[in-house]
Amino acid sequence: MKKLLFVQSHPPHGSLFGQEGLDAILAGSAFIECGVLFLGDGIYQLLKDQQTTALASKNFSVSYQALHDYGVESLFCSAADLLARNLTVADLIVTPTLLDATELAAVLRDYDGILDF
Amino acid sequence: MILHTLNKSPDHPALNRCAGFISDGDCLILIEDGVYCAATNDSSTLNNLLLREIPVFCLQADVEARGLLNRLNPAVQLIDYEGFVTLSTEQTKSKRWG
Repeated sequence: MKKLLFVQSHPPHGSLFGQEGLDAILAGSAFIECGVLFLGDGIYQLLKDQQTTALASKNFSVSYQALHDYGVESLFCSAADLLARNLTVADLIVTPTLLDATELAAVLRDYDGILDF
Repeated sequence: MILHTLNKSPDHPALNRCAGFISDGDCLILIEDGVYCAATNDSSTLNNLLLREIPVFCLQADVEARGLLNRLNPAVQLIDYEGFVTLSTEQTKSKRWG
């Protein structure tokens, strides 16, 4: 069975990439095995304690906790990108697998299709 | 005196470009994804501006939305929309970066 990798590389709230990407993951998971890779500023989508009331924007980060229920178990991020932002997995709403550059390249090779957000 | 607004994260070249144009007496407001510039601990560009005593502000609503309230450089000041308007009226012109 084919596998799809969704790549989230934008921070939340400044654009619609994050929300649109997450919607696509949730929809895609109904049809095919999906994984998610957080690259660069994309990791900021998983930061805890996002309070969007004053911005009148939806805090879609909480929906990442539902990925498990949708059968999406493979979450990855770059260990270097996390470190560069002074973050640890304890700061994140879900726990992705931390990968080095070689392992990240292997993830791209492992999936049959890649969708960039 | 110029009010500089920046709306891109440090991954974008806007911060470095903007910093080169900031003169004494100017101030910088980080809005939208620009607030990430005040959240990394290794931003020498931002630290240089603060060392020059350039006032740097972050829009609080954008900080809260991104979960950064307890992660900001303590030398950066939080403002609300009203404060943004006040700063705009105090400066003679503004320049948007990003």
